[in-house]
Amino acid sequence: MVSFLSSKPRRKNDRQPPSIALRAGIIGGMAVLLFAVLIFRIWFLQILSGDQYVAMAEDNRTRFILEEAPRGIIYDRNKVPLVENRAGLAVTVFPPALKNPEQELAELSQIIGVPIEEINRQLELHKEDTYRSVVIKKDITPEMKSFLIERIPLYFPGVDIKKFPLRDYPNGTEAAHVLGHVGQIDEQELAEPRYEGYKAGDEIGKNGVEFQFDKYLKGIDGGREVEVDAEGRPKSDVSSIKPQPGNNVVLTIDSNLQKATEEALGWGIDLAHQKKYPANAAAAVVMNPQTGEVLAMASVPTYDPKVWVGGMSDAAYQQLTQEGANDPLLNRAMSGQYPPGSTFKVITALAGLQDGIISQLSDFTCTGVWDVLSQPFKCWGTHGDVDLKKAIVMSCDTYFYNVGYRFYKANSLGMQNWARQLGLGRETGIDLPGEEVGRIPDPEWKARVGETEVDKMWMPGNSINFSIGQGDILTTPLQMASVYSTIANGGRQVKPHVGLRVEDQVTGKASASLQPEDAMQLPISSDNLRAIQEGLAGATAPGTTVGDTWVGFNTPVSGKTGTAQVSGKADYAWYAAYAPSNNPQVVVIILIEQGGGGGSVAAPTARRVLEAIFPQPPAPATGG
Amino acid sequence: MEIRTHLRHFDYALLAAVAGLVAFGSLIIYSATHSDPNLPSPYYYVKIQLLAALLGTIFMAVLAFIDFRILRNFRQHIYFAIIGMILLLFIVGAEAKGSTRWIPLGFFNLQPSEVAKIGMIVVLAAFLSERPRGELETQTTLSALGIAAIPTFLVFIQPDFGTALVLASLTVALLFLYGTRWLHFGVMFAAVSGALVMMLKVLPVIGIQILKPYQIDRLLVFLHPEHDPGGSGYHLLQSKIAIGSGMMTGKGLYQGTQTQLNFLPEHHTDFVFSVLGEELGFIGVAVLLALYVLVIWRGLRIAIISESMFGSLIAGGVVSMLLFQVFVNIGMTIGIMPITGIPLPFVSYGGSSMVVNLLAIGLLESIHVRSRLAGDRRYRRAQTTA
Repeated sequence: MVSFLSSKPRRKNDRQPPSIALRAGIIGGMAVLLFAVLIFRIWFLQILSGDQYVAMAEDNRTRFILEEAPRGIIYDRNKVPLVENRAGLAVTVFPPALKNPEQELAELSQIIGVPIEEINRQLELHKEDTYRSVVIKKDITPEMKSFLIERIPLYFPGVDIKKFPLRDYPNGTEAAHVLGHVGQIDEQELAEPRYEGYKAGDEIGKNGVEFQFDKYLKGIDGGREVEVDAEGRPKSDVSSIKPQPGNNVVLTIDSNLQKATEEALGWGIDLAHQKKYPANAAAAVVMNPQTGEVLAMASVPTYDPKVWVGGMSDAAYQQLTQEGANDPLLNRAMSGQYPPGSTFKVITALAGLQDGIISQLSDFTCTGVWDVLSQPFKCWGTHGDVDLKKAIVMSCDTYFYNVGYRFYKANSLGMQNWARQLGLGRETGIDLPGEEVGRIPDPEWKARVGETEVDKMWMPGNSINFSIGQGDILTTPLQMASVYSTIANGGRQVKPHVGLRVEDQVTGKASASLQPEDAMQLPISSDNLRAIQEGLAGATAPGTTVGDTWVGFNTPVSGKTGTAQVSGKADYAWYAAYAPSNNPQVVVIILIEQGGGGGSVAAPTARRVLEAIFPQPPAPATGG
Repeated sequence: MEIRTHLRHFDYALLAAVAGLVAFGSLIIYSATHSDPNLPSPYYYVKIQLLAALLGTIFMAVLAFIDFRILRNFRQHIYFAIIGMILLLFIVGAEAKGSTRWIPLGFFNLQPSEVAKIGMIVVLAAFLSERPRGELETQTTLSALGIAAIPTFLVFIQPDFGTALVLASLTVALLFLYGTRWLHFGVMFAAVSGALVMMLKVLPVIGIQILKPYQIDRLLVFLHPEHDPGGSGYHLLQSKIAIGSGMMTGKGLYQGTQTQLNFLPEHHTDFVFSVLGEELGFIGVAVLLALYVLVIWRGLRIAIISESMFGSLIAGGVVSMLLFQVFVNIGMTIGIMPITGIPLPFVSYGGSSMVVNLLAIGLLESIHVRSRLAGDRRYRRAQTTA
């Protein structure tokens, strides 16, 4: 090697050959070519595609930091807050800033206790808006916050903690079913026209008032557009929009009465247990019969809406939906469907009077068994000669068997028609989602659902059972509240509702009324209605089906018991009442599943509710 | 020799173009680094760069005034110094528990790979200029390749893939200028293609890795940068965004968001061109390229007018080295060349590169002066004989 390096000059004259100019020229030509390549490519980038790269540079530089608008507050009718907001802490992830996504997300998942699949699902959901942080866990504890804050700079670039308005329930489980809960909008919901203009990650009302009045409660999100550096650190604000809080919604619910009603249901279930009934669920509706304003609506078992705050864990969801939990999420007051039992008799009576099947003076004889047909129908007692008023007061089955049979013989669907006119078999139209319609059986329905030829036929027994609210008929407590309101208010059909008005969250001024349109007057003769009202007023006297429930109650109460038979279960206890009898201000419907007799369990429960409305002087203990 | 005559024979167009590049580069480096909060002063990098330029100018002046032909006598020293420095890197690197490209000299970190570029031009030019053409051609070609192969290989395994490429390219350029037969180029091309196929496709399959995985990533990512915007493709994508968003007139000096907000990586070294493109736009790019064209044109002119083969080869080698580096560096920032870490001559931040490039310009000036003096002599001879 050294030898060729130091080789002696073989040529003394080191003059360059003439070809050097040519060869240098070729290198020059190559240079021109290479520079042309560069300049064309740069021309393409800067001049032809410049706009596109400007947009990409802008995307790089600016990031939108969403600031969620707090939802409106939900108040009861006296402006007692039922749902408020509190400042929560949320863990967010900004995917482009992650250095080693798989590992970092796995560790984060461990720390915050959110399954990695859920984190990935959230990130996938927000894939489109690349320059936004994704919330993966809401409502962490302050301890968790300080734990994470220490570790974020070193181990979790791209993870951040931000303030987030969260729902707060100052009264715990109170009115949980009415209020509903909020949750993150899912993909299906995003596609619905109802949620046009909503974006992934938005909190929406999932049920109850939160769902129904979402458009009022939800504010307009704001945010800041900030300039960030490559590590995602904000450098300066580009622009900002203040979030606009949602409007407040004032409900017709009376918080105190709601509390009393829920307590009363608990008390009623205990009472049923004392009487050896396996009562395991109950519902109540308290409503103003003049306006349809729902003052209280309760369903047992209930749940704590808090479990949804910040995202419900799988375990909590399973606990709520598992077998044996007995459907705590179901609002039995409007979504539970039950045979109404004897509370239905007022409809049979009204239908009979209105259609001329009976008169107020019609008499039937009750011997304890009605055996006109081959199959005997029993009455719960022996009532002798019974007219309309006595039939209602004593809840005499025989009387209504006769009415039902007359309808059958007349080939009339009068009972069904009046049941429907009074609001059964269809939605009451309450401003809450998930209302069930119940069922009013008729020949057409039987022909449709019956499996055998015999099943498809409408038999006399069907009419007879129907007349006392048994058989295939199903109603919701809310529907019965509507029926008894119409009876109490002189034949007007009011629309049950829980929304009173919308108020601006900042100024507090009413911005919209939620009251439904005026009630509709039903074509019922006032004379007939008065006969029913008198029967109901008499049915609260001692010695009737309610025993001495109302002894010592100073406000005149009208009411009707119901004891519905459900095959394979203990009797369902009903009570429907309104008070004061002469000027009804409130209708109370109580239903206790498998609670036994309406008179012995449901009526005393109703009394406890009415005591909360009409304070009674200290009196001898109420009877059972 | 009189200083005045000497100064008269300088190529001032070349000097002006280089001065323009250094000034331009310093401005861009200042823009790219002045807002870095970790620096003791906003002028930190630009000061070092200008100091290196000053040092380089001194070297350049010294070289310009001495007769470049005496370098022939030092070719062995130069050659073994290059190999020695590169080997020293392995020792320094081992001590630093990792590979390094610098030898710390206290006041200055010497980058042997930069020195190797100009050194190898001199060594190869010296060797080739003494080989007669038309005789022992195969031996000449093989010898030149052998001389070049040792430092190139050492730089390659250092690993400094970019510099190895520069060394290989200037070897080819010198052989071309010398007049190597086309057949030899054909054989070389076939051999390199075969070696590449072996290295990238065949050997990895049987479990032998010559390039480190990150090197292969960087080499290939320019073909599909969008596939990996967070990893190797990130640099390239950000660079293209920076340049593209500069449009015709740029966002203005110090106003480049890609640069100032650090989306652009290594914005004062390898990706300094992207800063220029972003902040000064197509117009700034055109000015920079025009300055390079001027340097290359003057360099090639010097290669042609040189009185000696040695001078022609040195000038041609320097031009080829600069051209290759400019093309690969800018090509990398706009996504038409692989990411190799080759600096942009006179513009990228880096002391060794600056000193060596200015030194190379000093050689060009020396060759220019020599050929002009020879011209003077011929003129005088013609006068006297007439």
